Amino acid sequence: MAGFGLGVWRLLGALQTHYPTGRRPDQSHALVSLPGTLVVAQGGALYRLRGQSFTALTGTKGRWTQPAPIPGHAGLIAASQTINFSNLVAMAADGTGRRLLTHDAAPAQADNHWAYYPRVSPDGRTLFYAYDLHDPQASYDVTFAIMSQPLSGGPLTQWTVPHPYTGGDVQPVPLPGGGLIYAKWSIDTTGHTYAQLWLQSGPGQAGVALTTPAADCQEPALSPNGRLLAMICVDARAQQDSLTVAGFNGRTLGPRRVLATGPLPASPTWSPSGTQLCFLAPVGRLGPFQLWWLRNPLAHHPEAPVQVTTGLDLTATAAVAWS
Amino acid sequence: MSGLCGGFFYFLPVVTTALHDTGQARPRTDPGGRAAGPGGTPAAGQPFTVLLLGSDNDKKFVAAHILTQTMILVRVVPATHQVWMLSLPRDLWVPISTGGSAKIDAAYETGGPSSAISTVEQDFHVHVDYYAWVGLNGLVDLIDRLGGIDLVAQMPVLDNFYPADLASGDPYGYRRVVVLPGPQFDAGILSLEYVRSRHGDLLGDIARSKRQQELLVDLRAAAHQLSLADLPSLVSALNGQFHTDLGLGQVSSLLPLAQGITSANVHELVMLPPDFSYATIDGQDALLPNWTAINALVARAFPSR
Repeated sequence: MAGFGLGVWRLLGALQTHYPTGRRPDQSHALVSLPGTLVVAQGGALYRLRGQSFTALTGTKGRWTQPAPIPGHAGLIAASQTINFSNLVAMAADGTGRRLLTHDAAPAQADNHWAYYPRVSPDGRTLFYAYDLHDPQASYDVTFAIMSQPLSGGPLTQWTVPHPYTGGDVQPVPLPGGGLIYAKWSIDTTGHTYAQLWLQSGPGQAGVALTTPAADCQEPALSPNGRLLAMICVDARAQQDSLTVAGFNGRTLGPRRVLATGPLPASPTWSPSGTQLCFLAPVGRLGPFQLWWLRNPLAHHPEAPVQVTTGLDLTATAAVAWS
Repeated sequence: MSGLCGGFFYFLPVVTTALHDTGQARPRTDPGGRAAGPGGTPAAGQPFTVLLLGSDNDKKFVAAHILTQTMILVRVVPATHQVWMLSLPRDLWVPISTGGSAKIDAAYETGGPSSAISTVEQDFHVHVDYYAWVGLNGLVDLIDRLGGIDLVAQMPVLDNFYPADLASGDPYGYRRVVVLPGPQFDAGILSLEYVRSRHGDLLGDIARSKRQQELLVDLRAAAHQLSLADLPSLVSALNGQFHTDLGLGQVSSLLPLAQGITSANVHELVMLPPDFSYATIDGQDALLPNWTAINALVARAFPSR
């Protein structure tokens, strides 16, 4: 009799909703094999995916995120975060040989800095990233600006002038010709903030908007040949977004085409061949983010995205490094 | 009989919480201090209005005297599955039901939920059927119990003066936080940073209110997965960090209602200039209400008393 009561207790417990907790990638396998090498971030660690196997490149202590390849298979750069600041670190493709590229820790808390979204120019010589600026006259205003510095070390150059109190400018994409595409946040007269993709030819130059305020587009990813721009455009009202792609002629964007809508596609990345795309999104309507693959996004009728991982909890604000 | 016992012990945390934290008596008083009577609860299926209250209840504050940094009026129309949310800015300078004028976040401090409700009812000419209060840790624990929450951060959120109370235990300390923009799946602490940070916004508390409404929509989406069997662990997560005058039966009946509401049917309202103007009163930064504009805004979604 007591056993039956215990059984009822356990049965009710089994009826509870069980939420995915996110297995470590290196204790999992990809569902399909993608060409090349991909590096993903989860739970503060970086993992390399080759074929269907994951290998840990770092531990979690550095709270690693946002891996980006250095052109020419020369390793990768990632952000390492801690309380109050983050730094960018270069490392070999296997995670060894780490070299600090920024020095954002300071004795006084307010003098610390954040560095995120590392991207290396196609010639492999210049590092671009988002770096927070503090206005001493307006101590609450902390906004990201896009900066660059020689990858081998050297002076910092400020490229963009962010709008105050908007969060600023992030997600740089250096262009082969020396310019830059990035996401800029602005604020309208009603206090609504929105993102636009901007094109800028040089540091401090006046830029031009590539997308409209209403489209609210961010997370640009340029194809290796420089002719296609993938991006995420947000419908804030519905808390949904879409993965879209548009042609790019070096000055303007062509019509945008939606490749995938909710649930919450994020952080698109082109394959090295420029013919495939991967992105991050939950499975179903909700939950942790998994890796998805668009085998032929440029087809007239693209296939449905293919789920690559299951049971993981990939960092959605960290685009995959694909080389 | 043994099966009933098993079920009873499974739901024991719910029963305990039902006795302590839900169905809380709310002695109502009108501005003159007279008992307002039971007021009557809406019949099942009828529209109702809930006042959601959120507090920084860290060690800076005495438990019985905390402010409500978050006040959101929610109107639910079950028949059409429509929901309206209106954030009341914490700095709005209003007559308080217990006497005098102050920022609206002080109404709760002076007399708990009944004072907060009476203040809202008298100033905004609405009828509040229920209230629900949640503390900071309760929100964090709730989201963690749900396994995390999907949200779209609308902008990079940077704050050099974010309270370090939960991270360090120092209620007066500050730390730097950053929430990167875009879609993401966040645990409770990061979600809280997104909706609690206010210094990096031009509109400060107003912009934060908009993010809080977004979080409520995201929480509603997460509630799609819940069932009655989840109640005990949810109740455990919210232990002492949540109280309401909704009865347990009403709480459980809201679960299927939440599941039937789509994002398109959730209407988010916030006050912006000219609904108020900026002022300094008694040395405090405050918002002076433009009652004509505010009454028009409120009337869009909330029937007058």
